[in-house]
Amino acid sequence: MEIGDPERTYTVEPLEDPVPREPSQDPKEAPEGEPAEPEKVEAE
Amino acid sequence: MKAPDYVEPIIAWRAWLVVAEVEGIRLSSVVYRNVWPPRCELEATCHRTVFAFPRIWQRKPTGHPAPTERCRCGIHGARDADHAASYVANELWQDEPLHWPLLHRAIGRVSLWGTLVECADGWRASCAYPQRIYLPAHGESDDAPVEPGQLVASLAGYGVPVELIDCDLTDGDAVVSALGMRAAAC
Repeated sequence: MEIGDPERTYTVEPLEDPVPREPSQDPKEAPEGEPAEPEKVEAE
Repeated sequence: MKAPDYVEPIIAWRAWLVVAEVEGIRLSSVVYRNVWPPRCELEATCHRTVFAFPRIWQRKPTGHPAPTERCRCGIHGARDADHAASYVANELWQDEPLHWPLLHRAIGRVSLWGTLVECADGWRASCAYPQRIYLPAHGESDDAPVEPGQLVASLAGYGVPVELIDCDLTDGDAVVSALGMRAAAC
Protein backbone atom coordinates (compact mmCIF):
# COMPACT_ATOMS: atom_id res chain seq x y z
CA MET A 1 0.00 0.00 0.00
CA GLU A 2 1.39 3.36 -0.99
CA ILE A 3 1.12 5.63 2.05
CA GLY A 4 3.70 8.28 1.30
CA ASP A 5 6.96 9.33 2.86
CA PRO A 6 7.83 8.71 6.51
CA GLU A 7 7.48 11.63 8.87
CA ARG A 8 8.30 10.30 12.34
CA THR A 9 8.65 7.11 14.38
CA TYR A 10 7.10 6.38 17.75
CA THR A 11 6.09 3.52 20.01
CA VAL A 12 2.61 2.44 21.03
CA GLU A 13 2.03 0.04 23.91
CA PRO A 14 -1.75 -0.32 24.36
CA LEU A 15 -2.99 -0.58 27.92
CA GLU A 16 -5.67 -2.99 26.70
CA ASP A 17 -4.84 -5.90 24.43
CA PRO A 18 -6.18 -5.14 20.91
CA VAL A 19 -6.38 -8.89 20.23
CA PRO A 20 -9.51 -10.75 21.43
CA ARG A 21 -7.55 -13.78 22.50
CA GLU A 22 -9.01 -17.15 23.31
CA PRO A 23 -9.74 -17.38 27.00
CA SER A 24 -6.88 -19.19 28.60
CA GLN A 25 -7.74 -22.65 29.72
CA ASP A 26 -6.20 -23.29 33.06
CA PRO A 27 -5.25 -26.89 33.48
CA LYS A 28 -7.78 -28.50 35.72
CA GLU A 29 -6.50 -29.69 39.01
CA ALA A 30 -5.74 -33.34 38.88
CA PRO A 31 -8.38 -35.28 40.72
CA GLU A 32 -7.15 -36.52 43.94
CA GLY A 33 -6.51 -40.23 43.94
CA GLU A 34 -7.57 -42.71 46.47
CA PRO A 35 -6.22 -41.83 49.86
CA ALA A 36 -3.25 -43.95 50.66
CA GLU A 37 -3.82 -46.84 52.94
CA PRO A 38 -2.48 -46.18 56.41
CA GLU A 39 0.78 -47.86 56.86
CA LYS A 40 0.48 -50.85 59.11
CA VAL A 41 2.94 -50.95 61.89
CA GLU A 42 3.20 -53.46 64.62
CA ALA A 43 1.94 -52.32 67.92
CA GLU A 44 4.53 -52.24 70.57
CA MET B 1 13.65 0.98 29.54
CA LYS B 2 11.90 3.66 27.47
CA ALA B 3 8.30 4.68 28.13
CA PRO B 4 5.93 4.34 25.15
CA ASP B 5 4.81 7.48 23.35
CA TYR B 6 1.15 6.38 23.25
CA VAL B 7 -1.00 3.85 25.11
CA GLU B 8 -3.87 3.50 22.61
CA PRO B 9 -3.48 1.65 19.31
CA ILE B 10 -3.65 3.65 16.11
CA ILE B 11 -6.79 2.76 14.13
CA ALA B 12 -6.22 2.73 10.38
CA TRP B 13 -7.92 1.38 7.27
CA ARG B 14 -6.75 -1.44 5.09
CA ALA B 15 -7.83 -4.00 2.51
CA TRP B 16 -7.57 -7.77 2.70
CA LEU B 17 -8.10 -10.77 0.51
CA VAL B 18 -10.38 -13.46 1.93
CA VAL B 19 -8.80 -16.83 1.16
CA ALA B 20 -9.50 -20.49 1.84
CA GLU B 21 -6.38 -21.43 3.75
CA VAL B 22 -5.71 -24.98 4.99
CA GLU B 23 -6.90 -24.22 8.51
CA GLY B 24 -9.96 -22.28 7.44
CA ILE B 25 -11.14 -19.06 5.86
CA ARG B 26 -8.66 -16.31 6.62
CA LEU B 27 -7.72 -12.74 5.82
CA SER B 28 -4.59 -12.29 3.73
CA SER B 29 -2.60 -9.18 2.90
CA VAL B 30 -3.12 -7.91 -0.64
CA VAL B 31 0.46 -7.08 -1.63
CA TYR B 32 2.37 -9.65 0.41
CA ARG B 33 0.70 -12.97 0.96
CA ASN B 34 0.72 -12.93 4.74
CA VAL B 35 -2.22 -14.77 6.28
CA TRP B 36 -3.57 -12.95 9.32
CA PRO B 37 -3.95 -15.45 12.18
CA PRO B 38 -7.16 -15.31 14.24
CA ARG B 39 -6.84 -14.35 17.91
CA CYS B 40 -3.16 -13.48 17.51
CA GLU B 41 -1.42 -10.33 16.31
CA LEU B 42 0.39 -10.24 12.99
CA GLU B 43 4.01 -9.24 13.49
CA ALA B 44 5.91 -7.46 10.75
CA THR B 45 9.05 -8.77 9.13
CA CYS B 46 11.05 -7.12 6.37
CA HIS B 47 10.69 -9.01 3.07
CA ARG B 48 13.35 -6.97 1.30
CA THR B 49 16.62 -8.65 0.39
CA VAL B 50 20.01 -7.13 -0.24
CA PHE B 51 23.16 -8.33 -1.98
CA ALA B 52 25.26 -10.64 0.20
CA PHE B 53 28.76 -9.20 -0.06
CA PRO B 54 31.16 -10.63 -1.27
CA ARG B 55 28.87 -13.24 -2.92
CA ILE B 56 26.85 -10.63 -4.73
CA TRP B 57 24.98 -13.25 -6.77
CA GLN B 58 23.27 -14.24 -3.54
CA ARG B 59 20.70 -12.14 -1.76
CA LYS B 60 19.97 -12.16 1.95
CA PRO B 61 17.23 -10.66 4.14
CA THR B 62 17.90 -7.18 5.46
CA GLY B 63 17.73 -8.59 8.96
CA HIS B 64 16.52 -5.36 10.49
CA PRO B 65 13.45 -5.14 12.73
CA ALA B 66 10.36 -3.87 10.91
CA PRO B 67 9.44 -1.10 10.40
CA THR B 68 12.17 1.49 9.89
CA GLU B 69 11.94 4.88 8.24
CA ARG B 70 14.65 4.02 5.71
CA CYS B 71 12.82 0.91 4.45
CA ARG B 72 9.24 0.40 3.24
CA CYS B 73 8.54 -2.54 5.53
CA GLY B 74 5.92 -2.90 8.26
CA ILE B 75 2.21 -3.63 8.29
CA HIS B 76 0.53 -0.84 6.34
CA GLY B 77 -2.59 1.03 7.34
CA ALA B 78 -4.15 4.00 5.54
CA ARG B 79 -5.41 7.18 7.17
CA ASP B 80 -8.58 7.25 5.03
CA ALA B 81 -11.07 4.61 3.95
CA ASP B 82 -10.99 5.71 0.32
CA HIS B 83 -7.27 5.02 0.17
CA ALA B 84 -7.82 1.45 1.42
CA ALA B 85 -10.89 1.03 -0.82
CA SER B 86 -8.74 1.52 -3.89
CA TYR B 87 -6.84 -1.62 -2.87
CA VAL B 88 -10.08 -3.58 -2.51
CA ALA B 89 -11.21 -2.58 -5.98
CA ASN B 90 -7.95 -2.76 -7.93
CA GLU B 91 -6.37 -5.82 -9.50
CA LEU B 92 -3.06 -5.57 -7.63
CA TRP B 93 -3.68 -8.96 -6.04
CA GLN B 94 -3.21 -10.55 -9.48
CA ASP B 95 0.45 -9.47 -9.66
CA GLU B 96 1.62 -12.50 -7.72
CA PRO B 97 0.17 -16.01 -7.66
CA LEU B 98 -2.08 -16.72 -4.72
CA HIS B 99 -1.16 -19.52 -2.35
CA TRP B 100 -4.80 -20.15 -1.49
CA PRO B 101 -8.11 -19.94 -3.39
CA LEU B 102 -9.43 -16.39 -3.37
CA LEU B 103 -13.01 -16.18 -2.05
CA HIS B 104 -13.61 -12.46 -1.69
CA ARG B 105 -12.05 -9.15 -0.74
CA ALA B 106 -12.59 -7.13 2.41
CA ILE B 107 -11.97 -3.69 3.84
CA GLY B 108 -11.80 -2.75 7.47
CA ARG B 109 -10.25 -0.96 10.35
CA VAL B 110 -7.05 -2.28 11.85
CA SER B 111 -5.35 -1.70 15.19
CA LEU B 112 -1.67 -0.85 14.86
CA TRP B 113 0.83 -0.82 17.68
CA GLY B 114 4.42 -1.53 18.65
CA THR B 115 6.86 0.53 16.62
CA LEU B 116 5.05 2.84 14.18
CA VAL B 117 6.41 4.86 11.30
CA GLU B 118 3.92 7.61 10.58
CA CYS B 119 3.77 8.52 6.90
CA ALA B 120 1.92 11.18 4.93
CA ASP B 121 -1.12 8.99 4.22
CA GLY B 122 -0.92 6.29 6.88
CA TRP B 123 1.30 4.21 9.10
CA ARG B 124 3.66 1.25 9.00
CA ALA B 125 3.57 -0.81 12.20
CA SER B 126 5.31 -3.75 13.82
CA CYS B 127 2.08 -5.32 15.16
CA ALA B 128 -1.49 -5.33 13.86
CA TYR B 129 -4.87 -6.97 14.31
CA PRO B 130 -8.24 -6.36 12.57
CA GLN B 131 -10.57 -4.13 14.59
CA ARG B 132 -13.64 -4.36 12.31
CA ILE B 133 -14.14 -6.17 9.01
CA TYR B 134 -16.52 -5.14 6.21
CA LEU B 135 -17.40 -7.43 3.31
CA PRO B 136 -18.93 -6.00 0.14
CA ALA B 137 -22.19 -7.84 -0.44
CA HIS B 138 -21.55 -8.17 -4.15
CA GLY B 139 -18.47 -9.84 -5.54
CA GLU B 140 -17.05 -9.79 -9.00
CA SER B 141 -18.73 -13.06 -9.87
CA ASP B 142 -22.15 -14.45 -9.14
CA ASP B 143 -20.76 -17.99 -9.08
CA ALA B 144 -18.40 -17.35 -6.18
CA PRO B 145 -17.70 -20.56 -4.26
CA VAL B 146 -18.89 -19.04 -0.98
CA GLU B 147 -21.62 -16.44 -0.50
CA PRO B 148 -20.51 -13.24 1.28
CA GLY B 149 -23.14 -13.94 3.94
CA GLN B 150 -21.48 -17.25 4.74
CA LEU B 151 -18.08 -15.56 4.89
CA VAL B 152 -19.34 -13.27 7.63
CA ALA B 153 -19.87 -16.32 9.82
CA SER B 154 -16.57 -17.87 8.78
CA LEU B 155 -14.61 -14.73 9.68
CA ALA B 156 -16.26 -14.49 13.09
CA GLY B 157 -13.33 -16.53 14.37
CA TYR B 158 -11.32 -13.33 14.46
CA GLY B 159 -13.46 -12.24 17.40
CA VAL B 160 -14.18 -8.78 15.97
CA PRO B 161 -17.32 -7.39 14.29
CA VAL B 162 -17.78 -8.57 10.70
CA GLU B 163 -20.46 -6.83 8.60
CA LEU B 164 -21.78 -6.89 5.06
CA ILE B 165 -21.90 -3.55 3.26
CA ASP B 166 -24.22 -3.04 0.31
CA CYS B 167 -21.83 -2.38 -2.56
CA ASP B 168 -19.82 -4.01 -5.31
CA LEU B 169 -16.19 -4.66 -4.42
CA THR B 170 -14.96 -3.64 -7.87
CA ASP B 171 -16.23 -0.09 -7.37
CA GLY B 172 -14.01 1.72 -4.86
CA ASP B 173 -16.26 4.78 -4.69
CA ALA B 174 -19.27 2.58 -3.94
CA VAL B 175 -17.31 0.86 -1.15
CA VAL B 176 -16.49 4.22 0.46
CA SER B 177 -20.08 5.40 0.06
CA ALA B 178 -21.39 2.20 1.69
CA LEU B 179 -18.97 2.63 4.59
CA GLY B 180 -20.17 6.21 5.01
CA MET B 181 -23.79 5.11 5.12
CA ARG B 182 -22.92 2.41 7.64
CA ALA B 183 -21.16 4.93 9.86
CA ALA B 184 -24.13 7.32 9.63
CA ALA B 185 -26.52 4.54 10.61
CA CYS B 186 -24.51 3.67 13.74
